[in-house]
Amino acid sequence: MTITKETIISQIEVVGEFKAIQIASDTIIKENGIEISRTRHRKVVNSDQDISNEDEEVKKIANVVWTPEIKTAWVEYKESEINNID
Amino acid sequence: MAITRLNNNSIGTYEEGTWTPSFNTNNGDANISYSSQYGTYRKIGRLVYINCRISCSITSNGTGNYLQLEGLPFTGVGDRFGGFSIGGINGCDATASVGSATMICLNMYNGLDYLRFNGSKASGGNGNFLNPTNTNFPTFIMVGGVYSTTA
Repeated sequence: MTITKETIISQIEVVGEFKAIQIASDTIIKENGIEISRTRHRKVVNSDQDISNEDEEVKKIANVVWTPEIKTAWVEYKESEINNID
Repeated sequence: MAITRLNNNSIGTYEEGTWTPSFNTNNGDANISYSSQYGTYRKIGRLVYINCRISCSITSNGTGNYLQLEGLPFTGVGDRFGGFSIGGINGCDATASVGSATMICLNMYNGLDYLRFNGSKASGGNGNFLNPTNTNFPTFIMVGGVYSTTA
């Protein structure tokens, strides 16, 4: 009997005006090559975050969608949104 | 686990999994050592139900003015939509930031993937954000709640 464990990026979504990237990672356990367990982990990365440790596919997408204009707009938006609360 | 139903009368998608909660300031420069970070979520359609627990020690509160709970599994939609309950919290004195604060709240803002701590008080309760320099980060917290995200 051989038990293996692997983690794959199962979903990458670009959402919202500021191109947040939602990442779903699945950890898959297999017994003799047959999947017996799958669990999902999620996170969100934004254009002001360090993505040096992210998957190459995420980096490629980020490099396309996170333009300088998006980065600037995101930083400005975050504080304006908070301060706009009455 | 993820399930997608295509029937128009169904609830849409269902998904459950984990996320990694953490603390930081709006400047992202707090120095925190975690002994436990655990979060779960269930997404039903556009509603996301979360639970999390953090145990940590604080080396530096950083320079930011806002204390934040970060790492949410999905971005939020809608200002101050959603509700969050703090089941337990240690090491964080809300009154040091917000005088006469009676309770600590967590606020969700449109398009953001983190929550900000707010000190609620009898009047003028909005926008009274907890400043980690005064209040200190919690060394333990349990949070549960629900918020809306994109489809």
